Amino acid sequence: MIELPFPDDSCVSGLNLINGLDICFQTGFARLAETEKAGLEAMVPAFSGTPLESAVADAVAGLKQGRYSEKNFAILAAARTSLSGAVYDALIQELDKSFSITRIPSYEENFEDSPLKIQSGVSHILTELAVTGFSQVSGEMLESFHQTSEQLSDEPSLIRLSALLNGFINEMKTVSPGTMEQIPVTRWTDLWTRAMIMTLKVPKEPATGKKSGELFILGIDAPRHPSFVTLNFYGILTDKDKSSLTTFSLSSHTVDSIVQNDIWLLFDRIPVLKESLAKGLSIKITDMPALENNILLWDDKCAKKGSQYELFEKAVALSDCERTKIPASERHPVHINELLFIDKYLYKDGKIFSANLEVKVDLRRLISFSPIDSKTVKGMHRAVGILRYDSEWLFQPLAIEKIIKKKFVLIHNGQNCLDNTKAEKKQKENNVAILRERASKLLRK
Amino acid sequence: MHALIPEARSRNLKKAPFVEMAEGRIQGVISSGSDIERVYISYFKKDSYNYYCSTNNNRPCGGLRGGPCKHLHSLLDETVRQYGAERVINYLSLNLEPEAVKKGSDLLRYLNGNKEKEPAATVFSRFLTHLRQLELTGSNRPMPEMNWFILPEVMRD
Repeated sequence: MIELPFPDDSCVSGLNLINGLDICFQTGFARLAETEKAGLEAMVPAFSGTPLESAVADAVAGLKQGRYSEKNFAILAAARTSLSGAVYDALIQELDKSFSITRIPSYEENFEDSPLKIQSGVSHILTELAVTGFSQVSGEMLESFHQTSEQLSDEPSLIRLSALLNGFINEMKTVSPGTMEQIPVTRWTDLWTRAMIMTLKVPKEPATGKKSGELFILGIDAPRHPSFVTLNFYGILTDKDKSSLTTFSLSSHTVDSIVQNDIWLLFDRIPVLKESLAKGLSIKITDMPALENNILLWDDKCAKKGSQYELFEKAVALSDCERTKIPASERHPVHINELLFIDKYLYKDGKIFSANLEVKVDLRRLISFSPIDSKTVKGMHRAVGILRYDSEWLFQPLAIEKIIKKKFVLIHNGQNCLDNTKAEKKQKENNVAILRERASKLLRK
Repeated sequence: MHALIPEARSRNLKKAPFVEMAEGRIQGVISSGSDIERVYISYFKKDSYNYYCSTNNNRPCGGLRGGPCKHLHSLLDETVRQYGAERVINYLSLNLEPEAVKKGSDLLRYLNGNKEKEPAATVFSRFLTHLRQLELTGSNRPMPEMNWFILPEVMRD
């Protein structure tokens, strides 16, 4: 049996430190009770003997004395990031042992040292949120962030920060003024922390190369919030004799009223990709731009439709594929996402049981344009999906095989991507076209 | 970790390209039935249930004599279509069973407010910001921060 790892004692103390710190974010640094201050103070001994020792000591002393500077909060963010990074490292190390995974290095991250002016606007917002406390944030305060948010979305190099910040602010708007029970404190502090780190430097585009070969897509994942959606594609790229686990992402800003199959209308420059996905065809790519180590930068012009393939036959190659490390600055348990092929298993009481693995199924990451729903998963027979960690191990199915009327039927997240083709052409049913037509009349006057 | 915002429900956006529950109002932009260049800005205030409807040039809607106009009917219909009856009922602090609401305009009998004029400008400007989202460039690069965003429930037709 494969043992899925659990946080060991040092992870648990790291998580406890995080919990104690997060209470300060919930209450607000300007209003901490003595017991709550202890959570902040505990960071000091925890970082003694580390490179952050004096920075953390200074930041904690400063915050206790009411010096609510962006710098002090940035240091707290760095400290908290290193704690969750340590938990990630411990879990991945054990996971790699259990699954006999070899990992090649990530692509090399590069940053410009000086932040852009807008990043300082964002860190100002984050500081205000921390001082006020997540439980005390008002609708008016959140509305006041609107201008900064809009300026941020105009800066293409900061699209990741924009996606994150807008998702975070949207959530707070839904809850505020919040009651203690409704606030997901760890989650919001995770989002706050990551955003704060992203205000410090401007990401530079990493080095790119080119990839060629035949791509067999195994599954798609599609996280979204009201104003942003990302499609993450996972597949096997074969080039001569070599097979590699290859991924790529496509993202779009959006609005909350674009849902279900309309989401595909946002991605209108990928006809080869969509047709291949809908028809179960491989994709032949030639000199497609790519980051180091198996991340493509999709350009549909470098792609041609290939031929039909058996998804689960190709998925067998996964066990021999190298995996890639994630960039060092991103290490956090939320980014554990191992693509797995599970061959023959039973589904019972929300869990799947295979020959060597037992894991809970994650039904929270269902996608509204996907035919996979909570009922579909029940009859699963074989599946490709993503192993994730969120205080427990979870398996998110991306493509499943069911036996329906004695036949094996493949159901995968992307198979309906062409269903809107008629709507795409008929403007009055194409919600994206309707809104863009309004924009053309009103925004460019 | 849990995410709080369910995805909106599917609806055709031609009649009411923009609806929201924000700034203490159910507000939105309703297309004119007759003139393709004209839109109406309509809202109900969540506390008083006072309402108004005007064009984006602040000309009052002619249908407001004696009660909410057809644009306000559409606003409620489309807001319930998008967010579901329960969220709208809660926002308006109405004591109703969601199942009792077949369509949004059914709520009108409980909304006993009066005409109250406020300028259309902020709602219109929020509509333009909304539209601007679809003009922004996307990306074909890794977007790992989105790993945090999952939906607690998915509504399908």
